[in-house]
Amino acid sequence: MAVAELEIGPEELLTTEEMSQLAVVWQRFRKHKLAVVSLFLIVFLLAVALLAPWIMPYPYQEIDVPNAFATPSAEHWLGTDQLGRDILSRLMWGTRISLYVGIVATLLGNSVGIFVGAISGYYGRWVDMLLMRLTDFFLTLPSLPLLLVLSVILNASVDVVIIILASLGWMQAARLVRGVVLSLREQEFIEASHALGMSDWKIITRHMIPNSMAPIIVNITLGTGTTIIVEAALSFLGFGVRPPIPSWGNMLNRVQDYVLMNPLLAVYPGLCIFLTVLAFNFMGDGLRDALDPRLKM
Amino acid sequence: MTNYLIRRSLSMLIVLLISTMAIFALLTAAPGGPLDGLRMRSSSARDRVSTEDIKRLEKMLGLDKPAYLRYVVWLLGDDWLSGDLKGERHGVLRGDWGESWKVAQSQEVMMLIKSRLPNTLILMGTSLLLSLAVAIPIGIFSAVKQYSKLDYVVTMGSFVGLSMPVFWFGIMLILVFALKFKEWGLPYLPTGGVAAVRTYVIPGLGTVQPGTLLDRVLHLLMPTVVLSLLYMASWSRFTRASMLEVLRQDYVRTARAKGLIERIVITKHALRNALIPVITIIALQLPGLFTGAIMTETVFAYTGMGRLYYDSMTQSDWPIVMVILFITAILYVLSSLVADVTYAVIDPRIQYS
Repeated sequence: MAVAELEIGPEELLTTEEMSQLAVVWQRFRKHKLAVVSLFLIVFLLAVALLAPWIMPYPYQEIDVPNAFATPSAEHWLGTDQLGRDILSRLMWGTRISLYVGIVATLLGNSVGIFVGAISGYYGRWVDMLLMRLTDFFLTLPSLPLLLVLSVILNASVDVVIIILASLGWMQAARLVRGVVLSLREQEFIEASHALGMSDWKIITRHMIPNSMAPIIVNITLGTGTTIIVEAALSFLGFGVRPPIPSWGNMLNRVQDYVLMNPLLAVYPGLCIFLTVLAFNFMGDGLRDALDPRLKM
Repeated sequence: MTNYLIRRSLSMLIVLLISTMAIFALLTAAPGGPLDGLRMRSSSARDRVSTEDIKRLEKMLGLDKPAYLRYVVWLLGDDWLSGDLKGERHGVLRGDWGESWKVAQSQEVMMLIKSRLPNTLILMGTSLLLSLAVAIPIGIFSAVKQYSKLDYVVTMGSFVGLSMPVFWFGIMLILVFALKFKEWGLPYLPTGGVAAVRTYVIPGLGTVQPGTLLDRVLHLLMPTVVLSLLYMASWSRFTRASMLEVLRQDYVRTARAKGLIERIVITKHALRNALIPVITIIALQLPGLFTGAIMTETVFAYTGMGRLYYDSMTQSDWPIVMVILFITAILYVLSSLVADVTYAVIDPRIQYS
């Protein structure tokens, strides 16, 4: 018995719509409701941070001691702190500082880490051993005690804090990239690139690094959360961003002394830290699932 | 194995020595020191501290020597040096850890640390036990009943625990359980310290004498919870992940196929294997408990080593800082050794030749 021949052209046989990689990732990301909400929250915070100089009701350092510990009112939406400064404005500027430090320090650390990991994994042998020993050494340094010492030596300011935080956070990225590079090094397309005369540098930048972007993006997202907490802890202890520049951490410095006067003083900055870091963690988790190359659509 | 231990211990000692040199170099570069205030005062004619006096004080504190010599003195003491360099210090290797510059003027660092160490150890130990007692069972249940309500709650909880700034959590707890509860007439917890100074009354528990077990437990309650939160979150997550991976293995399937009841499959076969990486991670995170104690003790004014470190950092009291950093370095190196050895002992597949 003959099967009837179908009259379908080649175009109609291709029934699945082709999606760009970005669209695929976004679709997978969208499945995690919490991650999407977190993304919106972070975009909102970034907007506040960028627009802070224009939307702050008061300058963050304006002191008004007779009006200290005011409860929330029409003039001061969140009340005032122990020196009469408007809490809302300080929170806004604190958003700017905390996000700036968190994002820049993480990006800086990861860039260094990518570089170290790629070189270490690609060239192997003694370069690899040397760089990995260095990475292990940095990993075994006790972070908080050293952070405190470094910030005293280098006279902590916002930029110095960024450098210190970056120098303690590059190791994870280095290990990640090294792992990817090691697994890619033996593949045929790398051999082909060699054969075609591609320089080492080009191979690293055009093959190795783009392929390691997925775990790096997740690392950056989760790392920003951690960096924000560490910066807040440093500033809380008095070793990070110094007053009058407000950071969420240093707004909590010595707050136990004043907490009876206006308990909300202690709540707002910490709540901001908590929610922001939570958002970064959820988003990172969602990104990790969305970017996982092992899942098939 | 013994060979490995010997080699490892040797390299540990070298690493420790290098870290003390690095720490010393760092602190030498730091501004601040015991004589800063004096130098500033000597600018006014009346309060002038003469240069001879400053020199004498420097010599007494051992600050007149160049940095590398000071390190040698710190390590080996200077009572064996001759002539002008001779001093009274015995050096760290012989048990003399120096004197505090500011936090407790002229008191021996060794005494200070001895008085504070037990408090920190109690805090760390209780937090460790609490975290283990909560994290591991929760992690196991969460893995065995994956996707259930409990699993969801646990996962959310661990996100919360990992994102919570430790110091803020402590402040919030103080706010609610110490201050607000007192206002509302409920049984309340003390705001800080290791033990009370006077007798106090707690509605519901009666009079509490300072120094008794009840008093110390009340003071220990909140710091322990705060310090444990992060580790409960982290370890339960890790146990869950490890357990999930083990439950997917073929030997678990075999155990079930043999007809063993589920409880035995989990406890006798899956659990042991799942715990191997967990124990390694826990051993590696032990020094982190000490670092976390720094934050917790500062928030709760708990007189332990963490608080001592914070106080000495704010007052630039380098002898204490050096010793505490040294102890931390020892902790880190030891914990990594313990993790490796435990791993080798528990996992029969691993051999260190």
